[in-house]
Amino acid sequence: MEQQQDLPRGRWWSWQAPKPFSRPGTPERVLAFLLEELSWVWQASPASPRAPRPSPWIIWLHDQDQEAEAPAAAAAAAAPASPSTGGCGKSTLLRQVLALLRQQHPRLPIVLLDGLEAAAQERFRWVRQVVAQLEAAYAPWRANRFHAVWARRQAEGRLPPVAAGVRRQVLDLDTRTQLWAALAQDIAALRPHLPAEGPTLLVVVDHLEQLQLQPGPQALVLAPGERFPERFGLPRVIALLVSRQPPDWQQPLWWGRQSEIVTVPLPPWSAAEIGHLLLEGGLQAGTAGERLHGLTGGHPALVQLACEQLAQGGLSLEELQRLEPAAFASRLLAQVAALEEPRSWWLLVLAHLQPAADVPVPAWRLLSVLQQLPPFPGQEPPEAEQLLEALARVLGVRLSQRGNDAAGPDADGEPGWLALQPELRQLLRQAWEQHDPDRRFRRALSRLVIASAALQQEQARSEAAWQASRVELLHHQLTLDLEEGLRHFQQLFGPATVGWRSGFARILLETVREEEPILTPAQRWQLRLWEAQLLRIEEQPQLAQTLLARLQQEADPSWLATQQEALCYEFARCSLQQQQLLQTIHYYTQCLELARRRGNEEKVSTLQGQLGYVYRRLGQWDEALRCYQASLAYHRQQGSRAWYANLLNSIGHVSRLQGRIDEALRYCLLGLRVREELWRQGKWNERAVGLSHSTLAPLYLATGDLPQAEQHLRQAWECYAQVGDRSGLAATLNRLGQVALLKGQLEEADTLSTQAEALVSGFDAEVSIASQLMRGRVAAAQGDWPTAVGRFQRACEQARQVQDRAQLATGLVELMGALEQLGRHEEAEAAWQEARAIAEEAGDRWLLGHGEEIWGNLALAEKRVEEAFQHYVASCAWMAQHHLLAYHQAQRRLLERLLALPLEAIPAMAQRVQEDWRQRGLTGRYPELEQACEEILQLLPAGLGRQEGQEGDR
Amino acid sequence: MNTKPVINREDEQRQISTILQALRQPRGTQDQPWPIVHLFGVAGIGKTTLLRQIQQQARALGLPALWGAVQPGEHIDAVASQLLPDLPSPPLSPSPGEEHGSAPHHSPPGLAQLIPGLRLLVHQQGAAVLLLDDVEIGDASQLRWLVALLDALGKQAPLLLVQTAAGPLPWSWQTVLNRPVLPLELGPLDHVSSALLLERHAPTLAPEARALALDWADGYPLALVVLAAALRDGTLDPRQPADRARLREQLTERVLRQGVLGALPPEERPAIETLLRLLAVPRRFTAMLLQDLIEQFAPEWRQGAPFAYFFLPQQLADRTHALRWQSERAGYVVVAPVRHLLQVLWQEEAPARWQEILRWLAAFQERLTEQANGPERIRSLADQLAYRLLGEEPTRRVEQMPSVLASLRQEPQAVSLQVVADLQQDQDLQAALGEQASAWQAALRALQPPPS
Repeated sequence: MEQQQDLPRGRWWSWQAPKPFSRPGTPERVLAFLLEELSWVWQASPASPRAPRPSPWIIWLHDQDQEAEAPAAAAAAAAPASPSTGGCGKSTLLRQVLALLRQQHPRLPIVLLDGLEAAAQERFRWVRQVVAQLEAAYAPWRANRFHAVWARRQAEGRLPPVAAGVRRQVLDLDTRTQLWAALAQDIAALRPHLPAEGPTLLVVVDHLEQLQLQPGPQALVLAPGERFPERFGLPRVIALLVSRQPPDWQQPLWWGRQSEIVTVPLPPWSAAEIGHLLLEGGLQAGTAGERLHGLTGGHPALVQLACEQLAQGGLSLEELQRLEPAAFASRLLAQVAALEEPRSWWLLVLAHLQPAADVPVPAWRLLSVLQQLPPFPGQEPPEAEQLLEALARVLGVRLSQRGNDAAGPDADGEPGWLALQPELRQLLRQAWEQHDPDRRFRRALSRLVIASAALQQEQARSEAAWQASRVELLHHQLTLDLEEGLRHFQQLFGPATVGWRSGFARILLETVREEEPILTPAQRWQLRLWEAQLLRIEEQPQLAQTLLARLQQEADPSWLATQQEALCYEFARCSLQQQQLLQTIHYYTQCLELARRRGNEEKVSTLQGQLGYVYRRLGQWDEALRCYQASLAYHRQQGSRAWYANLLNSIGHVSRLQGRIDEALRYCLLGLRVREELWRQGKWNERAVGLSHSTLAPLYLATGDLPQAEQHLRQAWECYAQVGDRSGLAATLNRLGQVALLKGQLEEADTLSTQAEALVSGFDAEVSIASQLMRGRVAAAQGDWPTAVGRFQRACEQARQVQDRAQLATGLVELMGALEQLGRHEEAEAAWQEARAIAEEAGDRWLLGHGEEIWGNLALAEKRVEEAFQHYVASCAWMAQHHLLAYHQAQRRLLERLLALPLEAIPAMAQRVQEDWRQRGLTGRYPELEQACEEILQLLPAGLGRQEGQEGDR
Repeated sequence: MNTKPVINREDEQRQISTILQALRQPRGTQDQPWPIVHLFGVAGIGKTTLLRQIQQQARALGLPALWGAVQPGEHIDAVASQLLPDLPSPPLSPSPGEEHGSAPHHSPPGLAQLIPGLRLLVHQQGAAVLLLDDVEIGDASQLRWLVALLDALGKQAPLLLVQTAAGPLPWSWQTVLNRPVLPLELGPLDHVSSALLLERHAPTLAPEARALALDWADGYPLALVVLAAALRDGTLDPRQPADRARLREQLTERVLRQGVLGALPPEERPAIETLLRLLAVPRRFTAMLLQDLIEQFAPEWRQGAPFAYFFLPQQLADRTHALRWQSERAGYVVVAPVRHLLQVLWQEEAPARWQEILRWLAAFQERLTEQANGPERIRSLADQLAYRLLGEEPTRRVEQMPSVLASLRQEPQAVSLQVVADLQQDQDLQAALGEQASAWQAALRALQPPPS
C-alpha cells in the first residue's frame, strides 16, 4: 500500500486555506483614511490652512471589542482585566494595507517591527534598521556620522552586549546622546533632498501589545527626551501601530497624545459577513450566519474553522443550530483531535510549547522538539520551511515578520516566532486534556524542552528575549513538577516586581494561572496573594485590596496564619498607594511586630525604613529621620545594598527639607552611585536611579544651580519613561515646571504642571497636590490672583484629605499671599495661623521664613514699611535656622528692599533692622545682617547717616 | 444485480435522491460544484449494496450510472477498463469547437482514455453518475487519480461521484479534492431491519437460532449473513456449547479476519486482532489509556518511545478502519458493529478475563479522576462508574447499583448532576445492561434532586 508521503509535496503539505479573509474594501478603506486624514501632514507648506491643528501622525489599528472601555477602566472593574482575545485579522489587514501603500509609494522607506520578535526589541538594532531603510530609499545619502560614531562605540565595547569591564551608563544615555547627535546631523543633511510631498518614513509595528510589556517600546527610543514611536528628526513621518487594545491614555507613554493618534477599530466578523462566507462555500446559509456569529464571536480563526467543517461535511447546518457551545468548540477541533495528519500534531505540540496566551514560541524550538520526537506515522520529521508553510496557512497561527521590509511585506524573511491566537490555543489545550488527562505526554515534551535549554549556552540577548526564555522555562517546569515550578516562579516574580518589570511579572503570573485547575487550595490562595501584589504594583491598589479581603474570607485560617505578615504588608502597601497614611502606619506597625516576633532582623530594619517614609509624608521629619537612621545602621553592615541606597536617598530628601543642603547632597550623591552600580550589575532598575536624580534636582535648585538641576531632571525623566512610572514622570514635570517658573517661562511652567496633574489625577495625591501648587504659583506670577486662590485652595483641600501636612502648610502659605492680594485679610490671617502651627510643629523653618517674607511683601506694597521690615527680619531669622544659604539669600533680598526705600528713610529702617536682629539674639551667631546694615549706614551720604539719638543704642 | 430494496438505508437514499434529482435539472441553475458522496463503514456493513441501489436509482431517473470497483492491490487506473465499455467513444479528430479534448499530459493510460469519454457522456446526456466501489483512502495514488479526473472534468461538470470506502474521507483528501463532500457513515441495522435481513437469508430459523443471530450480530449485516448461513440448515444448535463455539469461529474467521482485517497482510492480522479485541473493552480510549492497557494486557505491543502510543490509535484506524475518533466521547472507539462482535466473543470465550479488564479500567479511571479536570473529569467519572457496574457479575449488578453510585455523593452537586445526566443518555451502556437498564435508570434518577 502506497504511503501518503508519495504525493507531490506542494499538494500534500499545502493546507489549502479557505479564501483569505476578504472583507471588501477594508484595506482600501484604511489606506484611503490614511491618505485622506493625514494628507495635510504630507503637504510641504507649513502654512497649510490645516497646519494649526494638532497633527495626527499615528494610526492605531486595534480590535473593536476593546474599544468600549480603555484598559484602565477595565482594570477598575471587579475582576482584573483578562488578556484580550485578538484574532480579528489585523495582521492580515496590515499586510494588505502595506501592499497597497507600496504600490502608491514605491520609494517610501518602511520599517517594520513585530512585537512577536523578542530578539528584535533592542534599541540599537532597531535604529540601525531604520538607518538602513533610509539609506536604501534615499541613496546616495548615507548616515556617515552615525556610522562613524557607531563604529567607535562598538570598538570601545559600549554597544550591547557591553564588553566586560566597560562601565555602562544607565539607559546607555551617553551612547544614545552621541549616536543621536550624529544621526541628527546626518538627517539635517538629508532634509533638502527629501521629497517635497508625501511621507518620508513609515514606521510599522505589529503586535504592539507584546511590546507594551517591560521594558516597553520606550526602550527602543534613541534620542533622549523623545517618546515612542520616534521620528528621527524627519518631517512627515507616519506610524502604523497594530495592537489588540486601543491606546491606554493613562499610560505615561500615550498620555496626552490623543491629538497625535487616530484609532481605527477592526470589528470581528458580522453575522452578515459570515453568511456571505458560507454562501461562497456553497452552503445554504439561512440563519447559520447568525448562529455561527453567536458561537464564535465573529473571530475569523473560529469562523474559518467552522466554515471548513461545514463545507467538508464534518458539521452540518442542522447540528450547528443545536450544538451547545462546548460541544461546538469540540467539533471545531475534531480534525486536530483525531490526529489524522501531521499538521494536527504540530499544532498540538505548539499549543503545549506556548507558555501563556500572549507569549510566542521561537520557531526553532518547535522544530527542534518535533525533530526529537518520533515522526508522524509515515512522515519524516519536518523541515523548517515545510513546517512554517503549513502553519502559516492555519488561521489562528501568528508568525512574526522579520523587520527587513525592503522587499515588501509579502517577501518577509523566515519568521522567527510563532504564537497561537488565544481561541485556537484554548481549543488545542482542550484537545490535550482529552488526549493526555494525566499529562504524561506533555511532561515528556517539557522534559525535552528543559533538556535542550540546559544544553544551550547562555547568550547575551535583549531583555525581552531573556524574559521570553524565562517564561518558557517556567511553563515547562510547572508542567513537570508543580512545586518546583512555583519555587522557580517566585525566584523570577520577586525581582520582576521589585525591578519595575510588571509586564514580565504579569506574564509569569498568567503562566502559573494556567495551572490553576490542578493547584491545591493552598497554592490557589497563594496565587491570589501574588495577584494582589501584582495589582498593587500595576497601580490598582483598590482591586488589590478587594482581592486580599476576599482571600481573608475564603482561605483556610491555618494558611492565613502562615501568611499573616505577607497579607499585612500588602494591606500596608495598598493603603500607602491610596494615601491612607495613618492606616499605612497601622499595618506597618503590625508587620514590625510580627517580624520582631519571628526574629527577622532584616525585615524589621526594612520596615523601619518604610515607616520613615510615611512619617516623612506626614511632615514628621524628625521621626522619619529616626526611622531611616535605624534602618540604615543595619543595612549598611549586612542588609540589602539596594535598600541601603534607598535610605541614603531618603535621608538626603529629609535633610534637604530641614535645610541641611550639603549633608543632603552627600547622602544623595552616594545613593546615586550605589544605585548606578547596582544597575550595572543587573541588580537594580532604572526607576531607582531616576529617584536619585529626582532627589538631587531640588537640591541644586535650592543652591540656584539651574543647569545642574535640569540635567538631573532630564536623566530622571528618561529613567521614569523607561519603566512607565507615572508618579515619577509627573513629579519630574513639576520640577521642570519649577525651573521654567524660575526662568520666567510662565506658560511653559503651567503646561508642564498641567501635564503632571493630569498624569496622576486620582492616583498620586502627593504629586497631584504639588502640581496644583505649582499652577497656583504660575497664576500668582501672572497676577491672576483669583485663579491662584482657587488652585491653592484645591491643593490645601486635597492635602487635608490625605493628611499631607507638609504640603498643606506650603499651600496655606501660598494661599495666604494670594488672599491678601485680593484683600481677604481675615482669611489670609487664618491661613497663615494654621500654616504656622503646622510648620512650627514640623520644624519647617524655611516655610516659616517664606511666610514671613510674603507678609513683608504685602505690607511693603501697602506702604506699611516698618511692619514689612519686621516681617523681613523674622524671615531672615527663620532662614538662618534653616540653612545658611537660604539665610544669605533672605538677607540679600532684605537689603535690596531696604536700599529701594527713599534715601531719607533708609537710615531709620536700617537701625530698626539692626535693633530687631539684636533683640532676637542672633547677632552673635549671624552677625552678617547687622554688619551689612552698619555698612549701609556708613556709606550713606552725610546727613543721611545714623539718626541722632540712635548711635550707640545697643 | 440485486433488485431487492436496501434495508434500513432510507435516510441515505433520500439524501442521495435529492442530489440525483438536482443533477437531472438543466445546468443553468447549478453554479455550485457537485458534492462527492462518500459512503463509508466497516467491511460488510452494506456499502456495496447501497451503491448498487444508487445505481438503480440513477438509472431509473434516466441518468447514466457508471460502475467501477477498485480491486485490492491493483492500481485504481485499472478501473477505467470497467468504465470504458459504458462510455461513448470520442471522435479521433475533434471538429472545431469540440470541447472534449484529450486528457492532461502524463495522465495514466486508463485515465487518459476515461476523461474524454466522460466529457462526451456528460455532454451528450447532460449529466452522469460515477460509482466507485472500495476506494482505498490510505492510498495516495488513488487520491491523485481522482483529483486528476475531477480537475480535468471541471468543478461545474454535472458529474456526481459516489464512492465507497472503509473509512471516512481524511481531511487532507477533502482539502485537496476541493469540493464539498457528503459523508454518509453506514451503521448497524435496526432490529426490525436486522430481522428482515435474517429472514431473507434464513427464512426457516428456529426461534433460539434467530435470537442468537440477532443478538450476536446486533445489526451487522455481514455477521447476520454469516450466522444465517451457518444456522440455515439447522445442524448447529445455539444451545450447545460446542455449536456456539463453531458459530464463533465462523464469525471470527469470516467477519473479523476476512472482513474487518481482510485488507491487511495475513501475517499481521493475528497481532492486530489481539489489539483490536483488547480495545473493544473500553468505552473509549486515548493514547494514555492505550499505553497502560497495552503494558498491562498486551505487552507484546509495547512501544519503544512514549510518543509512539500517541500515534498508535490513528495508525490502527488507518489500517483497519475499525476505529474512529468520536468528538462526543473525546476519544477513540472501536466502531459499533465490530465492538459488539468482539464483546460477544469476549463474553463467550473469556468472561473472567473480560471482567478483569473492566475492573482494571474502573481502577484506572478512578486514578485518572483525581488528576483530570473540567469536562474530562466528568467523562472519567462516568466511565469509572460504568466500568464498575459492568465489571460486576450480571446477577449482582442491580443490587450493586446504589453502591456503585455512592461515590458520586462525594462530588460537588454540579459535577454529580452532570455525570448522572451523561449516564442517563449513554445508549451504549443501556444496551450493555439489557434488561437491567431500567433499574439503572431508576438508580440514577434517585440521585437527582426532586423537582422544585
